[in-house]
Amino acid sequence: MADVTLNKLTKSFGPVEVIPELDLTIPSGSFTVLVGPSGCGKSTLLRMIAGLDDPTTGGLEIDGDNVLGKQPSDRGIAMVFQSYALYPHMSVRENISFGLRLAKTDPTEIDARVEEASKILQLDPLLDRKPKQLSGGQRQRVAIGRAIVRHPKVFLFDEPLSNLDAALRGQMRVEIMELHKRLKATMIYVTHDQVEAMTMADRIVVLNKGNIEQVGAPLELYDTPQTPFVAGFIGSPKMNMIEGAEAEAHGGDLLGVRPEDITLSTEGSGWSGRITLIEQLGSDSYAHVVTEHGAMIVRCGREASDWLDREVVLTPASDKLHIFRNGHRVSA
Amino acid sequence: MPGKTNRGLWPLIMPTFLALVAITVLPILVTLGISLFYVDLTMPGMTRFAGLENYFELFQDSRFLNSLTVTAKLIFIPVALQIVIGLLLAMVLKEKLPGTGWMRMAFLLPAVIPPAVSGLVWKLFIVPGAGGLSYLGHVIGVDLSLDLLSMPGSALTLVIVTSVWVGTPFVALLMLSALESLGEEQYEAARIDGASWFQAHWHISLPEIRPVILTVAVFRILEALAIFPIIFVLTGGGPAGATEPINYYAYVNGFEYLRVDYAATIIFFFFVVMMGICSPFLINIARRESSEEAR
Repeated sequence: MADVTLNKLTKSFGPVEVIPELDLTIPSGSFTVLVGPSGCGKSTLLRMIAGLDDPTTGGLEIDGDNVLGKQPSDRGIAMVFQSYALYPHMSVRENISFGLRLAKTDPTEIDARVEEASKILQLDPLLDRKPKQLSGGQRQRVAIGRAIVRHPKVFLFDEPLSNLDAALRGQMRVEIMELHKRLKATMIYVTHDQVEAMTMADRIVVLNKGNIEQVGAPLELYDTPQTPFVAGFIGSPKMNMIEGAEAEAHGGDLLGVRPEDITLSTEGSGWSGRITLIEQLGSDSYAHVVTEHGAMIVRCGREASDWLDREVVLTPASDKLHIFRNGHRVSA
Repeated sequence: MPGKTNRGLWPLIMPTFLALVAITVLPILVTLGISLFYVDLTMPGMTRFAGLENYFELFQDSRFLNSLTVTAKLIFIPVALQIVIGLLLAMVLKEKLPGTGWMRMAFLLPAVIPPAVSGLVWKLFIVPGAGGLSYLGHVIGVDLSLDLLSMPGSALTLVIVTSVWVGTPFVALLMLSALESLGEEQYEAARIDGASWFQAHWHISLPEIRPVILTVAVFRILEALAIFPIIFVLTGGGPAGATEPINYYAYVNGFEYLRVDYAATIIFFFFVVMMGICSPFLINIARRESSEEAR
């Protein structure tokens, strides 16, 4: 376990500044998810921590040691890549033990560590297979096994589930969370998928254009987003945003309300609108409503399917409104 | 696809098939035929069937046996050097260091210069007392004005160097494209695993591009004797047969001694030997390609 400290870190590729200046401390033993849209710099940040890219300026410490200038293998990290990055000509066993063999670790020790990792990840029956003989999920488990045997202080995951189908993604999410619980290591996980971030993290760092928008626990970000960007990015479906007089009436220039914090009815007072579409998800239904303040999505019961193309009234919960002014939260 | 369906495709395949037979199989068969006869171009009426006489003569001909040894040296040494140097160059070019962009173009130059011109370039370079080598020796204070073509060892070395100079760039470009097809993340994973630059190439690049290396090696071996023009211009097979490979000896027999039958015997014998060496590899390559297509 180790904490990771980024101190005034910047990164530019030629004239393009990807990360302007960033300070961040990732606590020891935490499962921190870096989340943000494509191009926000989250993978660049991870690669700098790994030592695959050098920062332009700033400091970087892992477990209190300045690791700038150190080789990736000397930083006490292990990384799991989106494409798995397995060596196709090597068996699963050889893939997992490659780093240890390079480090001239005692063969008995190598066998013990491979056995330990394969037990954790249920890779025993696959050890003599080549990567092309494995499914996507199995390949990713091998990639994780390769990380585990290094006994790293920090695990780095670069969108490891992006290449898997939805069912396998859900399964691997659980496996990685269990792994964290078991190893209690610091894990830094990059994703653009806010559902992954919400379900896996004990701490989320939301990045936008290389800047940190907000750092906090998943529900903290969900309940009290500090910026409109976080409010819009965290949560699915997205938070409904209203500008203009209605927002001004609540003391801000932007008013946000989540789909589940709006009640839909056919009469009463509130925002009036017309249901144009209903998405049935089984457990939930989402009504797409065109209102006087723009298009909104509202979580509703199954009975709402009878209201398609009808005029309805939307009543937001007054204690669940998110009010922003000049890009910052003004309400509690 | 079932056989019945394939039958309709024959008219499409036939022209190519016939063209291939006309330009490859037929000349080989004609060569075999000539080798089985006694042919004297100066006495056309004396042509007679000779059976394997010419083949028996081959193994008593010391000049032919010498040309076999020279051929082996001129095939395997340059090809081995082309592969090793080409691979190292490809590894360096892959790093996209400053200047490697124009270096790629510069590397192509020897490959696009006609071999006879390459031979002339090297011949001019080593002219004793006047060539670039002598000048280089003068600049660094060493006497390099030796007549390299007059000594068997240095003449053979020079032919090998020229052959490597001509063939390496193309090999390097093939290796480079093979290396660039490998995922960058594998190398990054290897760096995290603690592999140095060389270890990453040794443990990842080499095993993964092994099929490409093998294919390139086989084709370079088959093409190795295309250095005929270089030898023709540079050494003429001398001194004392030190740089005379089998095809040059066949040329001498056919066009200088007018022994067309013996030249055909040499060439057909060489064809059989080369096919014997390369066929397993060619079959392997063809199988691999068809299995990749089927996938």
